[in-house]
Amino acid sequence: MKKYILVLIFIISFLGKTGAQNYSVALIPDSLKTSAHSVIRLFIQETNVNPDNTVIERTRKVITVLDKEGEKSTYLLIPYDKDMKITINQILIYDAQGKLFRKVKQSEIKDYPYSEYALFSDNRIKAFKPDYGEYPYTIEYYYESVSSKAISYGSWTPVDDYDVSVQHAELVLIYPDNKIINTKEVNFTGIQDKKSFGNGTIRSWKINNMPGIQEEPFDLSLNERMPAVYLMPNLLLYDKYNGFSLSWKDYGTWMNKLYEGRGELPEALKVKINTMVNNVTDTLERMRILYRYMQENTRYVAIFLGIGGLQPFSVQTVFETGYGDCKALSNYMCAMLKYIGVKSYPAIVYGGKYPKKVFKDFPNFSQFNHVILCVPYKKDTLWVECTSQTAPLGFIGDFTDDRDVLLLTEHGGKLVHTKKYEANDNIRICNSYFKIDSTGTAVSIIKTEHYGLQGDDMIQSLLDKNTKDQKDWLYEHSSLPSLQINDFSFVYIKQPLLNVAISQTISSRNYGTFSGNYMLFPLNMINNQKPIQKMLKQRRSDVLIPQSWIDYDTLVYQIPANYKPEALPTGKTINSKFGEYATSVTFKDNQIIYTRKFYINEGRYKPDEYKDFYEFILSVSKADNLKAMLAVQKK
Amino acid sequence: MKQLSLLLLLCVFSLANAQFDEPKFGKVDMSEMTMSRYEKDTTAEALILFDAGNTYFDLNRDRQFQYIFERHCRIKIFKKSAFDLANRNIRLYKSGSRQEKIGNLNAVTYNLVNGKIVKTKLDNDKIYLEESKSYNDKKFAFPDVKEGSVIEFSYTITSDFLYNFRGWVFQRSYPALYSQYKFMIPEYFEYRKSSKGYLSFDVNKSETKRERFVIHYESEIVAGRGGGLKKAYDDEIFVQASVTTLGIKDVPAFKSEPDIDCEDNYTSSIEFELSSIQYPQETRKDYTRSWESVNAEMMEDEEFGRLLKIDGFIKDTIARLCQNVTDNAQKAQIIYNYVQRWMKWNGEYRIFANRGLKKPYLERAGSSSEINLLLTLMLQNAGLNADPVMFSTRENGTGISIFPTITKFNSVLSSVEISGTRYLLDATNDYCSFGVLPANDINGKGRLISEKGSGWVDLLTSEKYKKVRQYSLEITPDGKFKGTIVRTSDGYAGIEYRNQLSKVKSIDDYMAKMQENISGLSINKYSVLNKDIYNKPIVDTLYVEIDNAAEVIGDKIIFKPLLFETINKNRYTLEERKYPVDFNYAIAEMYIFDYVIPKGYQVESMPQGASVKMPDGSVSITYSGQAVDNKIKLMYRRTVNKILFLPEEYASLKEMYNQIVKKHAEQIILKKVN
Repeated sequence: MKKYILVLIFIISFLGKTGAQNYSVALIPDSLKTSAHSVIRLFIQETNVNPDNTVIERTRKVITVLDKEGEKSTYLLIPYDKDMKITINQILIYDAQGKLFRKVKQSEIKDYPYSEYALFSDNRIKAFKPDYGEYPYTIEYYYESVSSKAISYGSWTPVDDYDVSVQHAELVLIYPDNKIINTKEVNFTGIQDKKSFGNGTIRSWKINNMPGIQEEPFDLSLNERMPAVYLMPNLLLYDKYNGFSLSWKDYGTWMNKLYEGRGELPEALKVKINTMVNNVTDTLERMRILYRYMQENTRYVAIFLGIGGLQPFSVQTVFETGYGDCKALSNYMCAMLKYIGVKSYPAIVYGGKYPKKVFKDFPNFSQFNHVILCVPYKKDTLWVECTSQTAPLGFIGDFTDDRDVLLLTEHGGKLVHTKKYEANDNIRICNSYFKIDSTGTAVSIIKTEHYGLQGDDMIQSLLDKNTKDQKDWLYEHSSLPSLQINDFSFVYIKQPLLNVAISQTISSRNYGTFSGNYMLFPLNMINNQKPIQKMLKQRRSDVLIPQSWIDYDTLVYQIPANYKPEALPTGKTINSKFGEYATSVTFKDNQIIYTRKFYINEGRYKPDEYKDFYEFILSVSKADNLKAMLAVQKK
Repeated sequence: MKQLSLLLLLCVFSLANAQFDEPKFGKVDMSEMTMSRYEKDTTAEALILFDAGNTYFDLNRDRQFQYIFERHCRIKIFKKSAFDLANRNIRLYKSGSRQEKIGNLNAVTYNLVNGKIVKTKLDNDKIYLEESKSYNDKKFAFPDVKEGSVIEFSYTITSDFLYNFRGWVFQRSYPALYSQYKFMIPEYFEYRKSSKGYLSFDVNKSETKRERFVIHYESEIVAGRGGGLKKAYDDEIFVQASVTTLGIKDVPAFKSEPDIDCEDNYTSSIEFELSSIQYPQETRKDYTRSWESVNAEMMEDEEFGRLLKIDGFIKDTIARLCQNVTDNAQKAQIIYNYVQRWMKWNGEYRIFANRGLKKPYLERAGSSSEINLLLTLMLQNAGLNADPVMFSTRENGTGISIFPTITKFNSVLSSVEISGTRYLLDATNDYCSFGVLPANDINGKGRLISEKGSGWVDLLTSEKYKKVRQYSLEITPDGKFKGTIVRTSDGYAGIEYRNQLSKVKSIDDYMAKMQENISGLSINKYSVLNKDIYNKPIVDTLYVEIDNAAEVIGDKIIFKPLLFETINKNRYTLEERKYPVDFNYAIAEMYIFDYVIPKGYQVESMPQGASVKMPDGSVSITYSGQAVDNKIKLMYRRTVNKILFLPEEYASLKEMYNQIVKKHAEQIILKKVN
């Protein structure tokens, strides 16, 4: 059987090689050149699943670089771990006419540890970066990997960057009939084929002449826009851990095995917990105590080892070292909660500001990269981020909110949705008082409160900073002219709602400017909306506004006694499906009172709606530029 | 600026008092545990309680000298944001089969629990090893770290790489109570030391001692008459050695600031370079000594000077390029342009061309060294007086040291002398015209290497950042503008513009991006002149409409006359600076606005002319304007003719920009009259 498969591979590879051998740039259709900095001329990936569960992946990739910006798509970066063997068979460089310029030597290929985000990981990377003096040129790669762990068969993604066109890309999957391979096509509109071949099956997916995808403002993440095919074994096999991937339920059952025996509490920790919570009866308060204990006694250190980085450190290890990654810390918290009689589940999630869509019909772990904890509590559900040193219990922020996650329950895996923060959760309130003198100098007290995700943004920017850096940050994020911050305070309130309150007393010279008999000053320099990027080209992507929020501003301006408003602008109301905006301007007792409410409505909108969104924000930004025009009063 | 650093270096030799006593490992004082903040810098997130290094020599089993580097450091953590200090990485160099060894690694965390100090040791199996080609990294995370913890570590590194003698960084991003480095150097070895930074040493002690070295002989079987088993034995030798201790007390944290050329120029540190080895009864081996020996070595180096003698592969090209050209200046220009176009820079700065020059030439790509040595070779081959110049780029820090050493340099450029005038050339940049250095090269002095000897060359530029913007616009009653913008970018502004153009697919794309980024701007048509003629200014003419720049209030039209050239915000927001502001090059900008106002309107008010200058005239703006009939003409000019501003000058520089922002905020008011 094994021999037979090898023969099969040979034939397929041979077919691959007889394809477009002429790499002259002249053969690239114009439609692929205008929309790209580089063109994938040919990308053939053969994935061979062997009866002994090893997977051989052979790749031939030919890329033409059209200009300097296209250079990065030629970089070869192959991460691997101890269960994989990588062989780079050949790297060839061709000139614009398609004439072979040179063969790259093995010694030019780099091999180094890969632990970009981690303190340590046992992954390594093979890398190559070509040098060639003139554009365009073409590079051809042949490489193969042999993997011995059957927990994923990887994926096929012809492009992974913007502005890259594809001339021809093909995935060939070869497997014996006694194996079941799950596949999932995403954004795939090419040609599919399936053939029987003796005791095996050959499936293929092909794409021809696909122009590059351009990055657009407020677009979907690239992986939602580009074609891909994902492959998974039906039967999961790794070390001593076996399971199925037919459903998320099965998949969760398999993952549960990786967690088995890692939740035992050391006696010392039990004693510790008893002393902390024995006199507390309220369950929520007991959970808060344990969460705070974990925040104060552990820290996040990323160390990825073994089982594809899927298996957590034991509770014992975290207790001893005081650190762990997201899996380890969630497991630790889960075990502590269990000890006080609170049930909770690890929730496997994709962490990032922009959620990725989870395929409900295709279980595989590469859709996720992070673990949090789900605590069903009364009628509600608490979501707990165990790597945060600062969050209140149950606050997860925009890194994991509003998305599908995989819960590891006692009955196996279960897809559920995390908390969504609504507009009314994410409020910013600003109350400011400006006293403007006849030289145009403003002395002011500015008070802002930031709730929910808006508060979280401030925490990320300011909490870890010392007072000098906080002050520098306030300077950098203010546009008041000749600003002097005399005093400020920063208060982080965790309960009942997450709130960051900042208060500043400042002075700003030249806040009012003079022109003839007039003094002019802006009515809203505190929270001024800038226009968003205009789009001249045809929009392709859906428009994604990730969060809803509301800002309320009340700004009071005390004007000098010898001035009167010459022309007071009127307030403005703008409504659209993207949000609402309303301002008012009144004058009373030598005070101009400006109020503003700006609400943004999250959502996914059609590509042609971007224009309306742009117009909406543009009119808000124009309205935010309101100025007061004062005239000096002659005595 | 460079003189300044030289002065500072001299501080190394000032007299100083007694040295600091390093506490024993594990002897943590209760006051260190209970300390809640550092009084001298209450913003500090952590405090280095002490950081002590000690390097001395020893003999290895092969009876060769090796050095041993010991480090012992104790840190108090106040805030979670300083937890990064508890993740450590120790780098060990290797070369071939030889590699540095680490020993006695201790790491302990101390916490105060119920008034008692609790120790948690690092587990040996939680030390990870990451292997790379020329070094191994030992990584570990301290266990049980919390706010208030004290962490302590010590280790020794044994190294055969005598040329890689470890230096010491006294100042880091957290303050330190004490940082000390002690080093013993036997008389056989000579090291050049260079130190940097704005702090002076509190301890600076040097003495000569007789040091004992033990030579260990293994047991061996000796053949022949009188042979047999010879026992292992130890012998000893005494060698004079200098022992130096340098220490700084109360080291403030280093904080970076915008517009400084290179952080490393300002942090306090010391580095070493092996200059010679002389064992008794052996001839002296010189590594680097005088500039003349550096020069001779570089000229003889296989990856440097020797390469300038292998010119067979470029002879034909030179003959072809210089056919019928007799003028030397013209030849130099042709060759420079040729190398600039032919070679693609791979983004790497190097001194040595380790692949030779022929290979990069054929591959048409290479490092700064390969490209500029090739340029030098080709200029020489054409009969010109050309030499390579080693230097340090701005991001690499200062290239000057008081000792002859090449360790500070990271790149090479080419110098050519034509009729008594020297031109400096760097062909890595695609857009610099002949004799103009890329901005990153303008950094003090470089060292010229030649058969006739070496010398310093000023890496200056007479080229400026030059921009002219001419706006001719008609204003409509609804507050829109229509007309042309002529933009001339010359010198470094031209290089910057051409660089931007090289990053987009077409000029069309560039113009589209500009419209997408500047709200209210529509470009209906444009033309670009001299894009590919690098020694001429690049000039573009845009036919535009501008919306969203003026406001109509009642019967008035109000707008800022500089439109989207307005500087709305002072970039110098910090209250004070410790380090200089570096502009890199001089600036000359001029903006001319010709407005035609709508029919039935008149100018009610407009900004008054003004001229604002720094006290020494180094930065100035002039602003003038007049309205005649239905036309307004405004002129605005900004010049910066000094490149470096010292911290003492920061306040006036900041105020200068406050004045600029103020002037830019002033508006023109048009009023409807009928």
